[in-house]
Amino acid sequence: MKNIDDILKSSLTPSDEPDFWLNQNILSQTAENTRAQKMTRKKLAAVICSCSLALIIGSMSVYAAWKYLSPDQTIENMSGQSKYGLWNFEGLKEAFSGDNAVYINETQSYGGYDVTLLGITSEKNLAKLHDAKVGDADKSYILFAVEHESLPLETSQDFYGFFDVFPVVMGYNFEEYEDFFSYENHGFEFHKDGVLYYVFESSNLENFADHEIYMCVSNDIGFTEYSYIYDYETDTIARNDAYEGLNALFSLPLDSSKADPKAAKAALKEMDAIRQENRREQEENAKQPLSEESKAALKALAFVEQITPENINDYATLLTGEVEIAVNTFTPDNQGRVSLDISYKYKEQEIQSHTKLPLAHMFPDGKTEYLSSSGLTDNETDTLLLELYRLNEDGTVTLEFYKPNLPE
Amino acid sequence: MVNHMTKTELENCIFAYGKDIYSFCKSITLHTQEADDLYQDTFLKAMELLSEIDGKQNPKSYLLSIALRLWKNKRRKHAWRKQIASMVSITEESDLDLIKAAAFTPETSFLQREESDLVHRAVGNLPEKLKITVLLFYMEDLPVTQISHILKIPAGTVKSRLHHARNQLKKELEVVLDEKYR
Repeated sequence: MKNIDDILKSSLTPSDEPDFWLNQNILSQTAENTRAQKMTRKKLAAVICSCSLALIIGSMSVYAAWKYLSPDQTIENMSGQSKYGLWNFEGLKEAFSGDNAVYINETQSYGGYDVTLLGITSEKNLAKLHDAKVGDADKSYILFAVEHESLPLETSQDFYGFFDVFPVVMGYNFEEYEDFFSYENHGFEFHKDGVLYYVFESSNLENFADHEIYMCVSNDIGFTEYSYIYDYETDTIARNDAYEGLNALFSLPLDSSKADPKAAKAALKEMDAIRQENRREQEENAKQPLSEESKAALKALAFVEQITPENINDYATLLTGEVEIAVNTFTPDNQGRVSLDISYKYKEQEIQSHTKLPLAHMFPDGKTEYLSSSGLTDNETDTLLLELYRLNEDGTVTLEFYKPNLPE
Repeated sequence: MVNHMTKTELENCIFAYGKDIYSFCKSITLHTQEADDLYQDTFLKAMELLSEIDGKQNPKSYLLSIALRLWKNKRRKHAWRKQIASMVSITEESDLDLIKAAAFTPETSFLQREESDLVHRAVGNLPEKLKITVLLFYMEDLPVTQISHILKIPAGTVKSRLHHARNQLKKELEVVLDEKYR
């Protein structure tokens, strides 16, 4: 009889090599820079929060006694961050201050974390991009605060990826509808005094208020039997007490009289159409291992790689009014690091990124210019831009955009 | 004292650990295109977090941690894709088949290839949580303490998952384990 350990060890030894061009693509983006260049459209910062029995519906003064910021203070702080400069939170702020908001102050503590559901509100397009042609999709916005017993949550990295938050609507098989309730939604975060404040945007849960709705906040890998016990036959969900990490489970106290089965059905139908379209697209993509766009993108990256601050005017054109950006001047902190919270719009594409870099990395050896590139998402070379950062005499850093003159 | 990893060190990581990270990406995504995306995103995210990385810590472990978290965030969105991937894998020429086929030279025996294929399929069929623990332990050769750190679960839970996974795999791989069969 062979040993299972030996079999697994020998069979699972890493054997897959990344494609040469894949590594080349990564390196070409890091060759000139010290920061990542693949900007992501921040559309799926998937995390949701939840709530429970202690429902308080009332005025904002309720929050005075709380240790956390009130929802409108939180939204105000979020909107003040340059990384969300292209977003309009006014509607969201008003909604959390209005009668439609449900204020909840329930904390659950598991795995060293305190998760507090602060509130929920549901309306159409409360958070939207400035000037965006938004649809009329109904949304729910759930606000929560997260603290750790010993580690202050101070950056998005402290939160990034470590939580999985999702709603579970009873009567809708979780496996089948899981992605419906959090598909293509946004998440907005803000940190203060070691507390993470997070607004999760979900499909409108109020439409489903005639069902029991739960919110799971977990640091498990997705929804598994280790953290939650879901009985598909009886359609019930419970925390798994044996799980030693974070597996909070809140029951959403939504007003069942506000349920709209017709709207719910329509939303599900729309979602199904999107799924089918995505599936078709995926099947088509699978048939084309390396598209012309991918080849063009690699070619463009190779071209951009040869551009330096010194020769940029020979290979690229300065853009003056084509890029919409909220903030393009950044002030370093007292440790000589500059937070590059960038949010801009170019050719209908919104790009957001934020990173903190030491000035010494950006401007070594007395240099005053630092070149980076961005905008190459989904191989769209048309939106590929060069970011030129200049160190000003007053110590601030100013960003200018150049469009590379890509060869035909 | 925190010793931040430099950009050059990170680039070296691509060459030093690229194969390990890529194999891991392929094993959890079961899809070449998804694996390419995840692999690339992992290093780009690592670049974003450059100032946060402690160079004295195990960079491979950190990169695996990023890959895992990125995948976790993506997997719900792409739940339907996985369904397609698994559907393909049991029909005709799937990515998984191609992946495994590429790992073997013509000199490699048919039996070895068949065995590896069975193992990969069995591991691929494990629940996500057990699968990832198995891959980190057997494929990436990480000690339990580091897996515990990556998954943010107690070491005892890691051991428990490995125990469950082994038991499940023993049943699935009965044919492979029983040499008399050959």
